[in-house]
Amino acid sequence: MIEAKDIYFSYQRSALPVLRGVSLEVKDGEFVALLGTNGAGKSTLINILSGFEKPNSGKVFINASDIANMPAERLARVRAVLEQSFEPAFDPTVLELVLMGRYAKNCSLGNSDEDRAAAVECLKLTGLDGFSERRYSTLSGGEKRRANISRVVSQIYSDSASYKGKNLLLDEPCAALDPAHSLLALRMAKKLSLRGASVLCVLHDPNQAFCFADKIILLKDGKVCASGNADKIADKELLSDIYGAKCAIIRTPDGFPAALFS
Amino acid sequence: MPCNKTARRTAVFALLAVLTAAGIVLSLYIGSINFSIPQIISAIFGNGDDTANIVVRDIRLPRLVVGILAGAFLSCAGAAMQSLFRNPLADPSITGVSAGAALGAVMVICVFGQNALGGYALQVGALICGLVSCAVVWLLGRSRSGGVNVLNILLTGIAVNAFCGAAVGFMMYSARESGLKSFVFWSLGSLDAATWNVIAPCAIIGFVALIVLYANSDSLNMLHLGEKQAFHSGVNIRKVQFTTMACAAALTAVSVAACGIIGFVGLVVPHILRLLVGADNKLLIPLSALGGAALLTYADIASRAVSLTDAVPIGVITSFIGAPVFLFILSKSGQTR
Repeated sequence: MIEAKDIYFSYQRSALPVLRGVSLEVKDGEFVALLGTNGAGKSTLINILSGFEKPNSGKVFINASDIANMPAERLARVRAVLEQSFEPAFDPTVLELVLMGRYAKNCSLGNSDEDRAAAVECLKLTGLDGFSERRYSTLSGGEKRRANISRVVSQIYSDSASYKGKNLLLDEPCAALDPAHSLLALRMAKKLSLRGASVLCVLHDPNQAFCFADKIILLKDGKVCASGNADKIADKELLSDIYGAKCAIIRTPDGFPAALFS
Repeated sequence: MPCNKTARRTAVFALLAVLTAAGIVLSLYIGSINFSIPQIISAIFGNGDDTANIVVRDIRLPRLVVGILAGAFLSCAGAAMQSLFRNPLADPSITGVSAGAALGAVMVICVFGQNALGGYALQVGALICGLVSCAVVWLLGRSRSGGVNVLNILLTGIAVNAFCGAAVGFMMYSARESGLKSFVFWSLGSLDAATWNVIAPCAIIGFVALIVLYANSDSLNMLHLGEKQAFHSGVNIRKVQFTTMACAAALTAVSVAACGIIGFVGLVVPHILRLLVGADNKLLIPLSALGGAALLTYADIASRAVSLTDAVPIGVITSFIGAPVFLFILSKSGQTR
Protein backbone atom coordinates (compact mmCIF):
# COMPACT_ATOMS: atom_id res chain seq x y z
CA MET A 1 0.00 0.00 0.00
CA ILE A 2 1.29 3.42 -0.96
CA GLU A 3 -0.13 6.57 0.52
CA ALA A 4 0.93 10.19 0.00
CA LYS A 5 -0.48 13.01 2.09
CA ASP A 6 -0.34 16.61 0.96
CA ILE A 7 3.08 16.54 -0.72
CA TYR A 8 4.77 19.84 -1.51
CA PHE A 9 8.10 19.83 -3.30
CA SER A 10 10.40 22.18 -5.15
CA TYR A 11 13.91 21.57 -6.43
CA GLN A 12 16.53 23.53 -4.52
CA ARG A 13 17.53 26.03 -7.11
CA SER A 14 14.13 26.95 -8.47
CA ALA A 15 11.50 28.69 -6.43
CA LEU A 16 8.75 27.20 -8.55
CA PRO A 17 7.11 24.30 -6.71
CA VAL A 18 6.89 21.12 -8.76
CA LEU A 19 4.31 19.46 -6.55
CA ARG A 20 1.66 21.47 -4.77
CA GLY A 21 -0.34 19.45 -2.31
CA VAL A 22 -0.53 16.01 -3.92
CA SER A 23 -2.36 13.27 -2.04
CA LEU A 24 -2.99 9.81 -3.38
CA GLU A 25 -3.51 6.23 -2.32
CA VAL A 26 -2.71 2.91 -3.98
CA LYS A 27 -4.37 0.07 -2.09
CA ASP A 28 -3.13 -3.52 -1.95
CA GLY A 29 -3.97 -5.22 -5.21
CA GLU A 30 -4.69 -1.99 -6.99
CA PHE A 31 -3.26 -0.87 -10.34
CA VAL A 32 -3.20 2.92 -10.45
CA ALA A 33 -2.16 4.85 -13.54
CA LEU A 34 -0.63 8.30 -13.29
CA LEU A 35 -1.27 10.50 -16.32
CA GLY A 36 -0.29 14.07 -17.09
CA THR A 37 1.48 16.31 -19.57
CA ASN A 38 5.27 16.52 -19.84
CA GLY A 39 6.52 18.44 -16.84
CA ALA A 40 3.39 17.91 -14.76
CA GLY A 41 5.52 16.44 -11.95
CA LYS A 42 4.96 12.71 -12.51
CA SER A 43 8.59 11.61 -12.29
CA THR A 44 9.21 13.93 -9.35
CA LEU A 45 6.25 12.36 -7.59
CA ILE A 46 7.72 8.90 -8.23
CA ASN A 47 11.05 10.09 -6.77
CA ILE A 48 9.26 11.25 -3.63
CA LEU A 49 7.12 8.14 -3.25
CA SER A 50 10.27 6.03 -3.65
CA GLY A 51 12.01 7.94 -0.87
CA PHE A 52 14.86 9.21 -3.06
CA GLU A 53 13.79 12.84 -2.68
CA LYS A 54 12.40 14.23 0.55
CA PRO A 55 9.24 16.36 0.26
CA ASN A 56 9.32 19.93 1.62
CA SER A 57 6.16 19.06 3.49
CA GLY A 58 3.76 16.16 3.56
CA LYS A 59 4.30 12.49 4.30
CA VAL A 60 4.61 9.26 2.35
CA PHE A 61 3.54 5.94 3.85
CA ILE A 62 4.42 2.52 2.47
CA ASN A 63 2.47 -0.33 4.03
CA ALA A 64 1.28 2.24 6.59
CA SER A 65 4.77 3.17 7.84
CA ASP A 66 6.21 6.63 7.33
CA ILE A 67 9.17 6.32 4.94
CA ALA A 68 10.89 9.51 6.12
CA ASN A 69 13.27 7.64 8.40
CA MET A 70 13.17 4.20 6.81
CA PRO A 71 16.63 2.99 5.74
CA ALA A 72 17.12 2.17 2.06
CA GLU A 73 17.58 -1.54 2.83
CA ARG A 74 14.18 -1.88 4.51
CA LEU A 75 12.41 0.17 1.89
CA ALA A 76 13.87 -1.89 -0.93
CA ARG A 77 12.39 -5.10 0.41
CA VAL A 78 8.84 -3.83 -0.01
CA ARG A 79 9.01 -1.51 -2.98
CA ALA A 80 10.77 -1.52 -6.33
CA VAL A 81 11.15 1.36 -8.76
CA LEU A 82 11.57 1.44 -12.53
CA GLU A 83 13.24 4.68 -13.56
CA GLN A 84 12.52 6.52 -16.75
CA SER A 85 16.05 6.43 -18.07
CA PHE A 86 18.87 4.21 -17.02
CA GLU A 87 22.31 3.18 -18.19
CA PRO A 88 24.48 0.83 -16.09
CA ALA A 89 28.25 1.30 -16.03
CA PHE A 90 30.71 -1.35 -17.25
CA ASP A 91 28.23 -3.21 -19.46
CA PRO A 92 26.88 -6.17 -17.45
CA THR A 93 25.24 -9.19 -19.04
CA VAL A 94 21.45 -9.33 -18.90
CA LEU A 95 21.55 -12.02 -16.21
CA GLU A 96 24.04 -10.07 -14.10
CA LEU A 97 21.81 -7.01 -14.39
CA VAL A 98 18.69 -8.87 -13.31
CA LEU A 99 20.55 -10.52 -10.43
CA MET A 100 21.37 -7.03 -9.16
CA GLY A 101 17.68 -6.67 -8.42
CA ARG A 102 18.12 -9.43 -5.84
CA TYR A 103 20.50 -7.30 -3.75
CA ALA A 104 17.61 -6.07 -1.61
CA LYS A 105 16.94 -9.51 -0.17
CA ASN A 106 20.10 -9.88 1.95
CA CYS A 107 21.97 -6.69 1.08
CA SER A 108 24.43 -8.78 -0.87
CA LEU A 109 24.79 -9.96 -4.42
CA GLY A 110 24.00 -13.63 -4.35
CA ASN A 111 24.47 -16.07 -7.11
CA SER A 112 22.56 -18.92 -5.49
CA ASP A 113 20.34 -21.30 -7.42
CA GLU A 114 17.36 -19.56 -5.88
CA ASP A 115 18.53 -16.14 -7.09
CA ARG A 116 19.22 -17.49 -10.55
CA ALA A 117 15.84 -19.20 -10.74
CA ALA A 118 14.13 -15.95 -9.73
CA ALA A 119 16.12 -13.98 -12.30
CA VAL A 120 15.25 -16.45 -15.05
CA GLU A 121 11.55 -16.27 -14.12
CA CYS A 122 11.66 -12.48 -14.24
CA LEU A 123 13.32 -12.60 -17.66
CA LYS A 124 10.53 -14.85 -18.90
CA LEU A 125 7.98 -12.30 -17.72
CA THR A 126 9.30 -9.77 -20.23
CA GLY A 127 10.01 -12.29 -22.96
CA LEU A 128 13.78 -12.03 -22.59
CA ASP A 129 14.51 -15.68 -21.80
CA GLY A 130 17.46 -16.67 -23.92
CA PHE A 131 19.05 -13.23 -23.52
CA SER A 132 20.82 -14.06 -20.22
CA GLU A 133 24.39 -13.95 -21.51
CA ARG A 134 23.94 -11.02 -23.88
CA ARG A 135 25.79 -7.82 -23.00
CA TYR A 136 23.50 -4.96 -22.07
CA SER A 137 25.09 -2.65 -24.65
CA THR A 138 24.18 -5.04 -27.47
CA LEU A 139 20.45 -4.83 -26.73
CA SER A 140 17.98 -2.63 -28.60
CA GLY A 141 16.26 0.21 -26.75
CA GLY A 142 13.14 -1.84 -26.17
CA GLU A 143 15.11 -4.90 -25.02
CA LYS A 144 17.04 -2.71 -22.56
CA ARG A 145 13.75 -1.44 -21.18
CA ARG A 146 12.48 -5.00 -20.77
CA ALA A 147 15.71 -6.14 -19.10
CA ASN A 148 15.26 -3.34 -16.59
CA ILE A 149 11.64 -4.24 -15.96
CA SER A 150 12.88 -7.77 -15.23
CA ARG A 151 15.50 -6.42 -12.85
CA VAL A 152 12.98 -4.29 -10.99
CA VAL A 153 10.47 -7.12 -10.70
CA SER A 154 13.18 -9.49 -9.45
CA GLN A 155 13.60 -7.14 -6.47
CA ILE A 156 10.13 -7.98 -5.15
CA TYR A 157 9.85 -11.40 -6.77
CA SER A 158 8.22 -14.04 -4.60
CA ASP A 159 7.77 -17.65 -5.58
CA SER A 160 4.69 -17.99 -3.47
CA ALA A 161 2.02 -16.48 -5.67
CA SER A 162 1.24 -13.70 -3.20
CA TYR A 163 2.54 -10.17 -3.71
CA LYS A 164 0.60 -8.65 -0.84
CA GLY A 165 2.62 -5.89 0.82
CA LYS A 166 4.86 -5.42 -2.25
CA ASN A 167 4.79 -2.07 -4.01
CA LEU A 168 5.82 -1.29 -7.54
CA LEU A 169 6.48 2.20 -8.93
CA LEU A 170 6.87 2.19 -12.70
CA ASP A 171 7.90 5.35 -14.53
CA GLU A 172 6.84 4.93 -18.15
CA PRO A 173 7.38 1.18 -18.45
CA CYS A 174 6.21 1.28 -22.05
CA ALA A 175 8.69 3.90 -23.25
CA ALA A 176 10.61 2.46 -26.23
CA LEU A 177 8.39 -0.65 -26.36
CA ASP A 178 6.42 -1.72 -29.41
CA PRO A 179 2.65 -2.24 -28.95
CA ALA A 180 2.95 -5.99 -28.31
CA HIS A 181 5.70 -5.61 -25.70
CA SER A 182 3.88 -2.68 -24.11
CA LEU A 183 0.94 -4.99 -23.62
CA LEU A 184 3.22 -7.71 -22.27
CA ALA A 185 4.71 -5.31 -19.71
CA LEU A 186 1.35 -3.93 -18.65
CA ARG A 187 -0.21 -7.39 -18.40
CA MET A 188 2.67 -8.45 -16.18
CA ALA A 189 2.19 -5.41 -13.91
CA LYS A 190 -1.54 -6.09 -13.85
CA LYS A 191 -0.92 -9.69 -12.91
CA LEU A 192 1.26 -8.62 -9.98
CA SER A 193 -1.50 -6.29 -8.79
CA LEU A 194 -4.06 -9.09 -9.06
CA ARG A 195 -1.78 -11.12 -6.79
CA GLY A 196 -1.84 -8.37 -4.17
CA ALA A 197 0.86 -5.87 -5.16
CA SER A 198 0.20 -2.13 -5.18
CA VAL A 199 1.19 -0.83 -8.60
CA LEU A 200 1.58 2.84 -9.51
CA CYS A 201 2.40 3.30 -13.15
CA VAL A 202 3.21 6.47 -15.06
CA LEU A 203 1.75 6.22 -18.56
CA HIS A 204 1.59 8.51 -21.55
CA ASP A 205 -1.12 6.75 -23.47
CA PRO A 206 -4.50 7.31 -21.76
CA ASN A 207 -5.87 4.29 -23.61
CA GLN A 208 -3.42 1.95 -21.88
CA ALA A 209 -4.62 3.41 -18.59
CA PHE A 210 -8.26 2.86 -19.59
CA CYS A 211 -7.55 -0.81 -20.33
CA PHE A 212 -5.47 -1.71 -17.28
CA ALA A 213 -5.95 0.72 -14.41
CA ASP A 214 -8.38 0.32 -11.52
CA LYS A 215 -7.92 4.00 -10.87
CA ILE A 216 -6.46 6.83 -12.94
CA ILE A 217 -4.89 9.94 -11.45
CA LEU A 218 -4.49 13.00 -13.64
CA LEU A 219 -1.69 15.34 -12.65
CA LYS A 220 -1.51 18.91 -13.88
CA ASP A 221 0.92 21.63 -12.75
CA GLY A 222 1.85 19.69 -9.66
CA LYS A 223 -1.70 19.04 -8.51
CA VAL A 224 -4.11 16.15 -8.81
CA CYS A 225 -6.83 17.56 -11.06
CA ALA A 226 -8.94 14.44 -11.44
CA SER A 227 -8.96 10.87 -10.27
CA GLY A 228 -11.29 7.95 -10.78
CA ASN A 229 -11.98 4.92 -12.94
CA ALA A 230 -11.68 4.78 -16.72
CA ASP A 231 -15.28 5.79 -17.35
CA LYS A 232 -14.91 8.90 -15.22
CA ILE A 233 -11.61 9.98 -16.74
CA ALA A 234 -12.57 9.17 -20.33
CA ASP A 235 -14.25 12.52 -20.63
CA LYS A 236 -13.52 14.53 -23.72
CA GLU A 237 -13.73 17.96 -22.02
CA LEU A 238 -11.45 16.87 -19.18
CA LEU A 239 -8.85 15.31 -21.47
CA SER A 240 -8.97 18.17 -24.00
CA ASP A 241 -8.34 20.56 -21.16
CA ILE A 242 -5.49 18.56 -19.62
CA TYR A 243 -3.56 17.81 -22.79
CA GLY A 244 -4.47 20.99 -24.66
CA ALA A 245 -5.54 19.01 -27.73
CA LYS A 246 -9.00 18.29 -29.04
CA CYS A 247 -10.19 14.91 -27.78
CA ALA A 248 -12.90 12.49 -28.90
CA ILE A 249 -13.91 9.35 -27.01
CA ILE A 250 -14.82 6.14 -28.84
CA ARG A 251 -15.42 2.58 -27.63
CA THR A 252 -13.16 -0.33 -28.51
CA PRO A 253 -14.76 -3.65 -29.55
CA ASP A 254 -14.07 -5.05 -26.05
CA GLY A 255 -15.90 -2.16 -24.46
CA PHE A 256 -13.04 -0.01 -23.19
CA PRO A 257 -13.15 3.73 -23.78
CA ALA A 258 -10.44 5.09 -26.06
CA ALA A 259 -9.33 8.68 -26.52
CA LEU A 260 -8.42 10.09 -29.91
CA PHE A 261 -6.62 13.40 -30.09
CA SER A 262 -6.60 15.72 -33.04
CA MET B 1 29.01 -19.82 -20.86
CA PRO B 2 29.22 -19.55 -17.03
CA CYS B 3 31.67 -22.45 -17.02
CA ASN B 4 33.77 -20.69 -19.62
CA LYS B 5 33.79 -17.54 -17.52
CA THR B 6 34.97 -19.39 -14.42
CA ALA B 7 37.76 -21.04 -16.39
CA ARG B 8 38.88 -17.67 -17.67
CA ARG B 9 38.87 -16.15 -14.19
CA THR B 10 40.87 -19.03 -12.77
CA ALA B 11 43.35 -18.71 -15.63
CA VAL B 12 43.82 -14.99 -15.01
CA PHE B 13 44.24 -15.61 -11.30
CA ALA B 14 46.78 -18.39 -11.85
CA LEU B 15 48.72 -16.36 -14.39
CA LEU B 16 48.98 -13.37 -12.07
CA ALA B 17 49.98 -15.55 -9.12
CA VAL B 18 52.77 -17.22 -11.12
CA LEU B 19 53.92 -13.86 -12.51
CA THR B 20 54.06 -12.34 -9.03
CA ALA B 21 55.90 -15.31 -7.56
CA ALA B 22 58.45 -15.29 -10.37
CA GLY B 23 58.83 -11.53 -9.99
CA ILE B 24 59.53 -11.90 -6.29
CA VAL B 25 62.32 -14.43 -6.89
CA LEU B 26 63.79 -12.40 -9.73
CA SER B 27 63.67 -9.17 -7.77
CA LEU B 28 65.58 -10.70 -4.85
CA TYR B 29 68.04 -12.40 -7.18
CA ILE B 30 69.21 -9.63 -9.47
CA GLY B 31 71.46 -6.82 -8.34
CA SER B 32 75.10 -5.73 -8.33
CA ILE B 33 76.08 -8.62 -6.05
CA ASN B 34 75.11 -12.14 -7.05
CA PHE B 35 73.84 -14.56 -4.40
CA SER B 36 72.64 -18.11 -4.89
CA ILE B 37 69.00 -18.93 -4.10
CA PRO B 38 69.88 -20.81 -0.86
CA GLN B 39 72.00 -17.84 0.23
CA ILE B 40 69.07 -15.50 -0.40
CA ILE B 41 66.67 -17.69 1.53
CA SER B 42 68.93 -17.92 4.57
CA ALA B 43 69.60 -14.18 4.38
CA ILE B 44 65.87 -13.45 4.48
CA PHE B 45 65.73 -15.15 7.85
CA GLY B 46 68.94 -13.43 8.97
CA ASN B 47 71.08 -16.56 8.83
CA GLY B 48 73.31 -15.59 5.92
CA ASP B 49 76.70 -13.91 6.01
CA ASP B 50 76.76 -10.19 6.84
CA THR B 51 76.84 -8.89 3.29
CA ALA B 52 73.98 -11.14 2.24
CA ASN B 53 71.96 -10.18 5.31
CA ILE B 54 72.35 -6.48 4.64
CA VAL B 55 71.85 -6.59 0.90
CA VAL B 56 68.96 -9.03 0.83
CA ARG B 57 67.15 -8.40 4.08
CA ASP B 58 67.67 -4.67 4.47
CA ILE B 59 67.85 -3.46 0.88
CA ARG B 60 66.29 -5.82 -1.65
CA LEU B 61 63.50 -7.25 0.48
CA PRO B 62 62.06 -3.96 1.80
CA ARG B 63 62.25 -2.57 -1.70
CA LEU B 64 60.33 -5.57 -3.00
CA VAL B 65 57.73 -5.41 -0.22
CA VAL B 66 57.10 -1.68 -0.69
CA GLY B 67 56.68 -2.28 -4.42
CA ILE B 68 54.21 -5.09 -3.83
CA LEU B 69 52.22 -3.13 -1.26
CA ALA B 70 52.13 0.08 -3.26
CA GLY B 71 51.14 -1.79 -6.41
CA ALA B 72 48.36 -3.65 -4.64
CA PHE B 73 47.10 -0.58 -2.79
CA LEU B 74 47.12 1.75 -5.79
CA SER B 75 45.41 -0.77 -8.06
CA CYS B 76 42.68 -1.47 -5.54
CA ALA B 77 42.18 2.23 -4.90
CA GLY B 78 41.86 2.72 -8.64
CA ALA B 79 39.41 -0.17 -9.02
CA ALA B 80 37.28 1.24 -6.22
CA MET B 81 37.30 4.79 -7.55
CA GLN B 82 36.42 3.66 -11.08
CA SER B 83 33.52 1.71 -9.67
CA LEU B 84 32.35 4.49 -7.42
CA PHE B 85 32.39 7.10 -10.18
CA ARG B 86 31.16 4.64 -12.81
CA ASN B 87 33.99 5.91 -14.93
CA PRO B 88 37.11 4.13 -16.18
CA LEU B 89 39.03 7.43 -16.02
CA ALA B 90 38.91 7.73 -12.25
CA ASP B 91 42.24 6.97 -10.63
CA PRO B 92 43.96 7.98 -7.40
CA SER B 93 46.06 10.63 -9.11
CA ILE B 94 43.23 12.12 -11.14
CA THR B 95 41.01 12.45 -8.08
CA GLY B 96 43.64 14.58 -6.34
CA VAL B 97 44.42 12.20 -3.49
CA SER B 98 47.98 11.31 -4.43
CA ALA B 99 49.15 14.86 -5.04
CA GLY B 100 47.47 15.89 -1.79
CA ALA B 101 49.28 13.13 0.09
CA ALA B 102 52.60 14.12 -1.50
CA LEU B 103 52.02 17.72 -0.47
CA GLY B 104 51.33 16.57 3.09
CA ALA B 105 54.55 14.58 3.23
CA VAL B 106 56.60 17.40 1.72
CA MET B 107 55.14 19.96 4.13
CA VAL B 108 56.09 17.75 7.05
CA ILE B 109 59.64 17.38 5.66
CA CYS B 110 59.99 21.14 5.23
CA VAL B 111 58.67 21.96 8.69
CA PHE B 112 59.91 19.08 10.83
CA GLY B 113 62.61 17.43 8.73
CA GLN B 114 62.76 14.04 7.06
CA ASN B 115 63.06 11.95 10.21
CA ALA B 116 60.70 13.67 12.66
CA LEU B 117 59.02 11.14 14.97
CA GLY B 118 61.16 8.40 13.46
CA GLY B 119 59.84 9.16 9.99
CA TYR B 120 56.25 8.59 11.05
CA ALA B 121 55.41 12.30 10.98
CA LEU B 122 55.84 12.19 7.23
CA GLN B 123 53.35 9.35 6.92
CA VAL B 124 50.84 11.03 9.18
CA GLY B 125 51.17 14.18 7.10
CA ALA B 126 50.63 12.24 3.88
CA LEU B 127 47.63 10.43 5.28
CA ILE B 128 45.95 13.56 6.64
CA CYS B 129 46.54 15.66 3.53
CA GLY B 130 45.47 12.79 1.27
CA LEU B 131 42.20 12.49 3.15
CA VAL B 132 41.72 16.26 3.25
CA SER B 133 42.28 16.70 -0.48
CA CYS B 134 39.92 13.82 -1.12
CA ALA B 135 37.29 15.48 1.06
CA VAL B 136 37.84 18.78 -0.76
CA VAL B 137 37.36 17.12 -4.13
CA TRP B 138 34.26 15.35 -2.86
CA LEU B 139 32.66 18.46 -1.35
CA LEU B 140 33.47 20.83 -4.21
CA GLY B 141 32.67 18.31 -6.87
CA ARG B 142 29.20 17.47 -5.72
CA SER B 143 26.32 19.08 -7.50
CA ARG B 144 24.33 21.63 -5.55
CA SER B 145 21.37 19.35 -5.13
CA GLY B 146 23.62 16.95 -3.18
CA GLY B 147 24.01 14.23 -5.79
CA VAL B 148 27.34 13.08 -7.15
CA ASN B 149 28.30 14.63 -10.44
CA VAL B 150 31.10 12.50 -11.83
CA LEU B 151 32.37 15.03 -14.34
CA ASN B 152 32.48 17.75 -11.66
CA ILE B 153 34.40 15.49 -9.32
CA LEU B 154 36.93 14.47 -11.94
CA LEU B 155 37.47 18.08 -13.02
CA THR B 156 37.78 19.23 -9.40
CA GLY B 157 40.24 16.39 -8.83
CA ILE B 158 42.37 17.46 -11.78
CA ALA B 159 42.45 21.03 -10.43
CA VAL B 160 43.32 19.94 -6.87
CA ASN B 161 45.94 17.61 -8.32
CA ALA B 162 47.57 20.40 -10.32
CA PHE B 163 47.49 22.76 -7.36
CA CYS B 164 49.05 20.29 -4.93
CA GLY B 165 51.62 19.23 -7.53
CA ALA B 166 52.62 22.86 -8.02
CA ALA B 167 52.84 23.37 -4.25
CA VAL B 168 55.11 20.32 -3.95
CA GLY B 169 57.30 21.65 -6.76
CA PHE B 170 57.53 25.09 -5.18
CA MET B 171 58.48 23.72 -1.76
CA MET B 172 61.07 21.33 -3.18
CA TYR B 173 62.78 23.98 -5.26
CA SER B 174 62.86 26.41 -2.34
CA ALA B 175 64.33 23.83 0.03
CA ARG B 176 68.00 24.09 -0.91
CA GLU B 177 69.84 20.89 -0.09
CA SER B 178 67.85 18.00 -1.39
CA GLY B 179 65.68 19.92 -3.89
CA LEU B 180 65.65 18.23 -7.25
CA LYS B 181 66.19 14.67 -6.14
CA SER B 182 63.31 14.69 -3.67
CA PHE B 183 61.07 16.45 -6.15
CA VAL B 184 61.66 13.54 -8.49
CA PHE B 185 60.90 11.14 -5.64
CA TRP B 186 57.54 12.79 -4.85
CA SER B 187 56.44 13.29 -8.42
CA LEU B 188 57.70 10.14 -10.15
CA GLY B 189 58.02 7.72 -7.28
CA SER B 190 60.90 5.61 -6.10
CA LEU B 191 61.44 2.52 -4.02
CA ASP B 192 64.87 3.71 -2.87
CA ALA B 193 63.69 4.96 0.50
CA ALA B 194 62.09 1.65 1.44
CA THR B 195 62.84 0.59 5.02
CA TRP B 196 61.02 -1.67 7.45
CA ASN B 197 60.06 1.39 9.53
CA VAL B 198 58.10 2.76 6.62
CA ILE B 199 56.57 -0.55 5.69
CA ALA B 200 54.94 -1.53 8.98
CA PRO B 201 52.45 1.35 9.41
CA CYS B 202 51.71 1.48 5.67
CA ALA B 203 50.96 -2.21 5.59
CA ILE B 204 48.66 -2.10 8.60
CA ILE B 205 46.61 0.89 7.44
CA GLY B 206 46.53 -0.43 3.89
CA PHE B 207 45.36 -3.91 4.82
CA VAL B 208 42.57 -2.56 7.01
CA ALA B 209 41.42 -0.36 4.11
CA LEU B 210 41.62 -3.30 1.69
CA ILE B 211 39.49 -5.49 3.93
CA VAL B 212 36.85 -2.78 4.39
CA LEU B 213 36.83 -2.15 0.65
CA TYR B 214 36.42 -5.83 -0.11
CA ALA B 215 33.61 -6.14 2.44
CA ASN B 216 31.83 -3.35 0.57
CA SER B 217 32.30 -4.81 -2.86
CA ASP B 218 28.67 -5.86 -3.35
CA SER B 219 27.35 -2.41 -2.54
CA LEU B 220 30.03 -0.95 -4.77
CA ASN B 221 28.87 -3.22 -7.59
CA MET B 222 25.34 -1.94 -7.07
CA LEU B 223 26.53 1.64 -7.62
CA HIS B 224 27.20 0.64 -11.24
CA LEU B 225 23.45 1.05 -11.64
CA GLY B 226 23.75 4.73 -10.79
CA GLU B 227 23.11 6.51 -7.54
CA LYS B 228 19.35 6.69 -7.75
CA GLN B 229 18.74 3.14 -8.90
CA ALA B 230 21.21 1.83 -6.32
CA PHE B 231 19.20 3.60 -3.63
CA HIS B 232 16.00 2.10 -5.01
CA SER B 233 17.62 -1.33 -4.86
CA GLY B 234 18.40 -0.96 -1.18
CA VAL B 235 21.92 0.48 -1.05
CA ASN B 236 22.80 3.02 1.62
CA ILE B 237 24.56 5.18 -0.94
CA ARG B 238 26.03 7.82 1.36
CA LYS B 239 27.62 5.11 3.47
CA VAL B 240 29.12 3.24 0.51
CA GLN B 241 30.39 6.43 -1.07
CA PHE B 242 31.98 7.63 2.15
CA THR B 243 33.58 4.27 2.98
CA THR B 244 34.92 3.80 -0.52
CA MET B 245 36.38 7.30 -0.78
CA ALA B 246 37.97 7.03 2.66
CA CYS B 247 39.50 3.61 1.95
CA ALA B 248 40.75 4.57 -1.49
CA ALA B 249 42.24 7.79 -0.11
CA ALA B 250 43.94 5.91 2.74
CA LEU B 251 45.37 3.29 0.36
CA THR B 252 46.72 5.98 -1.93
CA ALA B 253 48.09 8.12 0.89
CA VAL B 254 50.05 5.31 2.54
CA SER B 255 51.58 4.22 -0.74
CA VAL B 256 52.54 7.81 -1.54
CA ALA B 257 54.11 8.09 1.92
CA ALA B 258 56.17 4.98 1.22
CA CYS B 259 57.30 5.57 -2.33
CA GLY B 260 56.03 8.85 -3.74
CA ILE B 261 53.56 9.21 -6.58
CA ILE B 262 53.62 6.28 -8.96
CA GLY B 263 51.29 7.05 -11.79
CA PHE B 264 49.26 4.86 -14.11
CA VAL B 265 49.13 1.73 -11.92
CA GLY B 266 45.76 2.60 -10.41
CA LEU B 267 44.32 3.40 -13.82
CA VAL B 268 45.75 0.62 -15.94
CA VAL B 269 45.65 -2.51 -13.78
CA PRO B 270 41.94 -2.49 -12.84
CA HIS B 271 40.98 -1.45 -16.35
CA ILE B 272 42.83 -4.32 -18.02
CA LEU B 273 41.54 -6.82 -15.47
CA ARG B 274 37.98 -5.58 -15.90
CA LEU B 275 38.25 -6.31 -19.61
CA LEU B 276 39.43 -9.83 -18.76
CA VAL B 277 37.17 -10.89 -15.90
CA GLY B 278 34.30 -8.39 -15.80
CA ALA B 279 33.38 -5.61 -13.41
CA ASP B 280 32.45 -7.63 -10.31
CA ASN B 281 34.44 -6.01 -7.50
CA LYS B 282 34.50 -9.21 -5.48
CA LEU B 283 36.87 -10.55 -8.13
CA LEU B 284 38.29 -7.32 -9.39
CA ILE B 285 39.61 -6.05 -6.05
CA PRO B 286 41.68 -9.14 -5.16
CA LEU B 287 42.86 -9.57 -8.73
CA SER B 288 43.83 -5.90 -8.93
CA ALA B 289 45.88 -6.33 -5.76
CA LEU B 290 47.73 -9.20 -7.37
CA GLY B 291 48.08 -7.47 -10.72
CA GLY B 292 49.34 -4.24 -9.19
CA ALA B 293 51.87 -6.14 -7.09
CA ALA B 294 53.14 -7.95 -10.18
CA LEU B 295 53.32 -4.77 -12.25
CA LEU B 296 55.37 -2.84 -9.70
CA THR B 297 57.66 -5.78 -9.01
CA TYR B 298 58.58 -6.02 -12.69
CA ALA B 299 58.70 -2.26 -13.10
CA ASP B 300 61.24 -2.16 -10.27
CA ILE B 301 63.28 -4.95 -11.85
CA ALA B 302 63.27 -2.99 -15.10
CA SER B 303 64.20 0.26 -13.39
CA ARG B 304 67.20 -1.45 -11.77
CA ALA B 305 68.14 -3.19 -15.00
CA VAL B 306 68.47 0.16 -16.76
CA SER B 307 71.05 1.30 -14.25
CA LEU B 308 72.22 -0.75 -11.30
CA THR B 309 73.74 2.09 -9.34
CA ASP B 310 71.10 4.74 -9.77
CA ALA B 311 67.66 3.25 -10.45
CA VAL B 312 65.38 5.15 -12.84
CA PRO B 313 62.29 6.50 -10.99
CA ILE B 314 59.78 3.68 -11.03
CA GLY B 315 56.96 5.96 -12.19
CA VAL B 316 58.87 6.49 -15.42
CA ILE B 317 58.89 2.75 -16.04
CA THR B 318 55.23 2.17 -15.16
CA SER B 319 54.09 4.88 -17.54
CA PHE B 320 56.63 3.95 -20.19
CA ILE B 321 55.52 0.33 -20.34
CA GLY B 322 51.98 0.84 -19.09
CA ALA B 323 50.85 3.44 -21.59
CA PRO B 324 51.59 1.49 -24.81
CA VAL B 325 50.24 -1.75 -23.36
CA PHE B 326 47.14 0.09 -22.27
CA LEU B 327 46.63 1.64 -25.69
CA PHE B 328 47.15 -1.72 -27.37
CA ILE B 329 44.52 -3.38 -25.17
CA LEU B 330 42.11 -0.50 -25.64
CA SER B 331 42.33 -0.71 -29.41
CA LYS B 332 41.95 -4.50 -29.34
CA SER B 333 38.94 -4.46 -27.06
CA GLY B 334 37.23 -1.77 -29.13
CA GLN B 335 36.16 0.00 -26.00
CA THR B 336 37.69 3.34 -26.89
CA ARG B 337 35.04 5.98 -26.64
